[in-house]
Amino acid sequence: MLLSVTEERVFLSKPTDLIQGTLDLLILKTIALQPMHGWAIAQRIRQMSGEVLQVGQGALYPALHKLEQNGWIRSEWLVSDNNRRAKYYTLTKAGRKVLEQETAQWERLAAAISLIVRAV
Amino acid sequence: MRFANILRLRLRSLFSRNKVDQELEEELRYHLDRQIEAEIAAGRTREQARYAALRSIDGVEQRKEECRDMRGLNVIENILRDFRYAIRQLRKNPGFACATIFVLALGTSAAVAILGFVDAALIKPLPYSDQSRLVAVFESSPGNARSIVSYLDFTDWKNLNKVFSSIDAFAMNGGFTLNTDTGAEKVPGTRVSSGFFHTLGVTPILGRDFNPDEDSPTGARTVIISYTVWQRRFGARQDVLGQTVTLNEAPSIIIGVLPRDFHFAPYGGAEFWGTLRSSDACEQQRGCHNLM
Repeated sequence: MLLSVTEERVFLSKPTDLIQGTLDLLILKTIALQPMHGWAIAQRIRQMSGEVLQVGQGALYPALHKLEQNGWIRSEWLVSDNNRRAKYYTLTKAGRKVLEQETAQWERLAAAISLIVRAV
Repeated sequence: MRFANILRLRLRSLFSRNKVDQELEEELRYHLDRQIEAEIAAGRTREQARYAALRSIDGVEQRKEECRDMRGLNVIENILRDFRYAIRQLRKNPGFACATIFVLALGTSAAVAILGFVDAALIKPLPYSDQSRLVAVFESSPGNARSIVSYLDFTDWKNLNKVFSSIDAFAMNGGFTLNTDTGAEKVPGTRVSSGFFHTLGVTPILGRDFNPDEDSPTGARTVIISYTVWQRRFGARQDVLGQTVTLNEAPSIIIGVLPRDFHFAPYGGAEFWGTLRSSDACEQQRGCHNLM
């Protein structure tokens, strides 16, 4: 199963298309503000989701590499906060466009699902 | 810009593999180290932290493999590996390999031959200007839907023609006897009406086309030669124009050379193009059908 829910936490591990798309959206959104390395992206997603969403390494790095190959994000090696070289990812112009589309798409999807789930 | 960037990344993934792999390694190690630090901060011992972090990552090599998959690297690598495997298998089994290669070669050549024919006959345009307005005209009679015509019928058609911009003919009984220094020689060629090349839209690259009166009995006997003949028999000399050759015992003056790419399928290898003569024996009988 793609989503394992343990103690009210959602662990994103083996990505399928739906979750992969969602993870892409989360990553794009997270680095929209500033360039970040993989570790920080995972931490930020965890914090922003109120400790609910945990992005496993197995989902995060393949997703980052795919987004980079798609030309939506760009990577560069910078010195990180603990004085080590880390690979920082930045949103590209194309990525920003994709982020907008994906956000709208997500909102439509979420609204549609909740309409069904909440129906009595 | 974006595509250039993507292309650059792809090529980098493919050709600087070591560097890309190293960077991947470093990236994942960085993550691992941060994870260990976080576990220590949460109060574990170094050993415990390391163990927990490794478990949370669940196989560094696997992660690397997934990243390579995402970069589209493994596709190419797997293809190469399959290819090598196939070669090994074929070498192990030469008989089978030969049979396979033979069958493939046979199939491929059959397909190429058919395509070659279809391409020449149906797809490529005719090598004449205005090829869509060219038609072949035949005589039809009961029992013979497409018959070639006699010279007298042709001249009548030509004189009464109101439908076509021009009508011209070539003789189906082609071929000449050429007198050379070493004796007589059969050469391919045919006789045409004087407007023949003009109707096809072909202009000689050297010299001139036939004059309108050159297919009349009183007109000068002139001949146009093909490019190959000009190269081979006349050494591609400019002064070939005005030279006299003896074709079918009649001296004829060379007045032009056809373009190199000129091709007329019914007389593919024609070397000499003379003019029709109403004085020739066949041309005087309405029943002697020799033109098209």
